[in-house]
Amino acid sequence: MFNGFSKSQIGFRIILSILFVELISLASGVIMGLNIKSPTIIAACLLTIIISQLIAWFISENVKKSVRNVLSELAETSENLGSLSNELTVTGRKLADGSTEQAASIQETSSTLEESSSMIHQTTQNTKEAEILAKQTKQSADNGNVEMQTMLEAMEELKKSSTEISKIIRVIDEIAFQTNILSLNAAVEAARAGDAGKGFAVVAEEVRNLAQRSAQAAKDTAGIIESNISLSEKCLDISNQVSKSLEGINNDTHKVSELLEEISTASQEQEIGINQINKAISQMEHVLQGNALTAQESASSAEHLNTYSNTLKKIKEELTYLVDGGKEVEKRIIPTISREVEVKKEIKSQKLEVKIKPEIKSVPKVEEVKPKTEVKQKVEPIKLKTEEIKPKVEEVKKVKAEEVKSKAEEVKSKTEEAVEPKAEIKPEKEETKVEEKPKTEEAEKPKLELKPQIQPKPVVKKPLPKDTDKSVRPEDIIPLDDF
Amino acid sequence: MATNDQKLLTFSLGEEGYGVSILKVKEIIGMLEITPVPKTPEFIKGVINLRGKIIPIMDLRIKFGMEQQQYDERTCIIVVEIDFKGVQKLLGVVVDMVSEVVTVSDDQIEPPPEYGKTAEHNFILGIGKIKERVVIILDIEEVFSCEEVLKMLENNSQTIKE
Repeated sequence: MFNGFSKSQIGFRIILSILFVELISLASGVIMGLNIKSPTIIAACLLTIIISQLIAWFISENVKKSVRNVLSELAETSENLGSLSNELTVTGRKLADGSTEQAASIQETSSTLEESSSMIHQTTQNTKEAEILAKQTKQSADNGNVEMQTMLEAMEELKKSSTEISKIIRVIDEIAFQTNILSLNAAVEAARAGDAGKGFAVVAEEVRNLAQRSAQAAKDTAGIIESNISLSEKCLDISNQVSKSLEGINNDTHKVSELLEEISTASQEQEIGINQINKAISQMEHVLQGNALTAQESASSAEHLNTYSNTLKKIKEELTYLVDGGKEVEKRIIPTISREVEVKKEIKSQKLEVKIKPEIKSVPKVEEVKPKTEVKQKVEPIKLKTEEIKPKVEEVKKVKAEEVKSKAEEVKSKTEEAVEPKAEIKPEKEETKVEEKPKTEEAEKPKLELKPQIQPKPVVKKPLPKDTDKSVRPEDIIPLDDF
Repeated sequence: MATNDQKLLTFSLGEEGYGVSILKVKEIIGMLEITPVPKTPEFIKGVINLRGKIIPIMDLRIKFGMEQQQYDERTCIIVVEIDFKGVQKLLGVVVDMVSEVVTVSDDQIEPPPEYGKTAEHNFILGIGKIKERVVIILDIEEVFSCEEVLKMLENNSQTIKE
């Protein structure tokens, strides 16, 4: 079709020049009043034709030059756009990966925090119990002190009474001594009485024995009482020490109680703090989920961008064809169109995947998508790609794949219908270019907003699919870099 | 056998035990207030009033040349009867402690050592062996047979006579 059109273009140009020459010859005929002979006219006509052809050729060459300049700029821009979109894709993936990792670590942190929260709660409980125990200990120490004081008093009493007993014992000892002397005197008297005093002497002896026994008993008792007194003195000393120790315990337990109270309040505050941190972490989790989604979306937007840059390249090729003609250009355009369809499928499949699986655990999906983008970058044969993509799409949802196909068909049909003049192509291209930038900016917004952004695509494709009628084999594909 | 037995009142001075025939002993009393008498030898501590009788008191420790000691509740006065020119005179002897009345037989008494006899006043009758202890048996009349005592006793008897 393009071929025919270009031929007719040349014919059109010839006809136009002939018409132009005819007009000039007519005009010259009128001017000359038909006095000039036809050979002259014919010669003039021929000259005019040649001149006009030359002029036309010059004009077209100039136009071609300027168009070529524009085309080279266009090629450069589309190249930049392509690399930029690739970078964006990679960055978006990295961002998605990073936010996923972050989400995982945040979940770990959250669980750790919950554990420590429960630990702190336990600590608070323990501290409270310890506080109660410390108070009880203090009470016990107080009681012990009071009892110790009572014991001290009792000890003092014991010491006093021991001293009293000691005095009494001394009196008994004195009496025993006196008794002893008395018994000796009795013995003396008995001895003086001679035989008559013999019986009395025995009595005196017995009395003396008793006196000595009581003296011995008094002595023993005195010893016991002495040791009692010394022991009670020792007891007094020890009791005083115990009393001091109890006082120390009392003070220490008071301090312990205060410290425990402080610990209790501190751990309660800690608990509150941890709860706040927990809340903050869960909020962060939400934000991160959003971030992951946004990153995914921006990655897909970057892919759209890639598509647009491809479109741009196609447009450039068309223009080159229009300017230069030639069959090589035609071949190049077709693969790019079918690639666009493929990209669309991929984007749709990505969306579906994102919707199906949980938000945070989308890491594997991103990994699945990666090879696709790599494939794109490598520009492998179209058929292979479509084969790769189709099963994936079918896995996700057949219905969706069918929708994609139907959409692709719609696009094809639309492109068939839209055989528009060349002049109209340029403004459209410019429009798409202008639209691309805002899209990437908007890509950060939620999914729902992406749909309207994607819709303009068919508009872009309308001019492109002019060549889709012509079936192109994979071998015909030439790398875009050839431009 | 019975005639050979004699009764002794034993007492102690420091670590040594002494004995005196119970027939010479009049009475044993605890320590009383002694009234010192001027211009008397050191061993004569003074006199006491025992139930209205003035009795001169001698310190046996000083008499025997032993170290003087503070009197305590164990210190006793043994009142002895001394035959003075056919008259029985009372004399108080201060001893550290009165022990007991013991019966000793002659075979329990050893004669005093030889050097004792050479002394100016032989006042040791013998050495008694009572159980495991050694008791020096004194002749109390000999102990106080010195001039000062005799003089004092003479004065004392004169006052009594008056």
